[in-house]
Amino acid sequence: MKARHLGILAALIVVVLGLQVWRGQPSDLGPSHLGEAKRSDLKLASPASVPSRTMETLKAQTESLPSRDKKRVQILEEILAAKNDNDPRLDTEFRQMSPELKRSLQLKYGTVAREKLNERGTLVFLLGREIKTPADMDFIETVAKESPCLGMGDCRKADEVGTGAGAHEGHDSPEQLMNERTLVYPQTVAMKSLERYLMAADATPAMRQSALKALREMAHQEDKRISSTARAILQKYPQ
Amino acid sequence: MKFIAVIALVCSSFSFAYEFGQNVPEKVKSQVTKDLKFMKEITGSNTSAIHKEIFGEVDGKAYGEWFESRVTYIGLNSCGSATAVACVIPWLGSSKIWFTKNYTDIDHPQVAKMMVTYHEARHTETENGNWSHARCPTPFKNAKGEDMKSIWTGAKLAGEAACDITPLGSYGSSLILLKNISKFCSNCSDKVKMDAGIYADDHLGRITSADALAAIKADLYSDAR
Repeated sequence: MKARHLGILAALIVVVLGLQVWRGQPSDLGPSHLGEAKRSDLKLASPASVPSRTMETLKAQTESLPSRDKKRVQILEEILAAKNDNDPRLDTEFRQMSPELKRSLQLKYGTVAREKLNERGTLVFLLGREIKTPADMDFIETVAKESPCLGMGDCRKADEVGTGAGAHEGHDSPEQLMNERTLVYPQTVAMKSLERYLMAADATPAMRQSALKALREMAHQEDKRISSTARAILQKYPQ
Repeated sequence: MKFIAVIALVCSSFSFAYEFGQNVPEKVKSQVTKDLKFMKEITGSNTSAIHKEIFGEVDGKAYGEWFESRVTYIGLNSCGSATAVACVIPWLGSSKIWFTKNYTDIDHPQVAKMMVTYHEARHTETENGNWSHARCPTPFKNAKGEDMKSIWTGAKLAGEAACDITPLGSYGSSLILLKNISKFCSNCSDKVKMDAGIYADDHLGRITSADALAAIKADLYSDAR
């Protein structure tokens, strides 16, 4: 009798496991999740929203670059297409950039789809490493203060994905959940750039104050991913 | 005799290599292979003690062997949820890891993708109970009294099986891996090192045991390093 019960139990376990496999259930080993938003189509949603004037300006600006800078733009295109963050040319070709090349990369930032978070972050990284003038600082501060991308399939869908860590507080809305850090990756890189500037030996007092002011503003942002990162940086630089 | 030795050598070199599932598109295969190659080419100037215990040296050869001795197959799967990024499904094969569209189609930094890949590889270790996650305490708040939330989902973590109580677990080992790359990789670009640091620090919130946290901080977050 006991053996029969055990047999029934074993059969039940096999059926349950079989059903889970059939349904494609994940293990309980902790798959990494993004969010529950239904995104049958992960194609980027907003590249077409880039004004054609911006594209034309970028094209004209890039064409007017000296040949060395044109070559650098080409190299960057190759690196971004290959999705190779460890291409050594990121560190050899993009230092001591001319103001014209910086302007070209800033314009390019405006033409890259918001959903291409790593691409945008890469541009911010290169420009943020080369902050020399108030205009350079302005660009980085502007990126840092950009509103977060709301969903990886479509950065504009605020109603579906909320505004990040703090947005779904108080209600259980898992479909609004998304990858926190990657969604604010360009802003995070911008904040890291401000931090790097604060450490730089050649930082000017005025631009240093500007960086601190921007970080202080971000430390009070509603989005906790932004505010906590800004606060962590500010803690290292007591005023 | 020499012939047999060559055959044995060839066989052993293939014995730990992973294969891709038939449904994995060439483009995805190519990108994953490139990303894993990046890990295999890393060289390091130093290694933390816990990293040595888990992975060996900060070194591409060690990373390659560590991964390929655990993972035999990379496939695509929904992982049972529209939210999943990657998973291990033990009953489909304990040494198989699965990526979802959220892994392959989203523009994550390269080192963040490798973090997820190595995290899942840690989960293949059946001899260690697959390093199952620990349940996060309820309530689960940070030092500022804020609810702790997932880096990947933004979900509140209280009560979820999404924490680690040891630096050796899947979250702990990811943190150790990333922070070592951030601090000691000698041929990584500045961007990779920055990214590794950003994502490593985000993992700190997943370590809920005070002892484990203290061990990690002593290993990698002390000023002396």
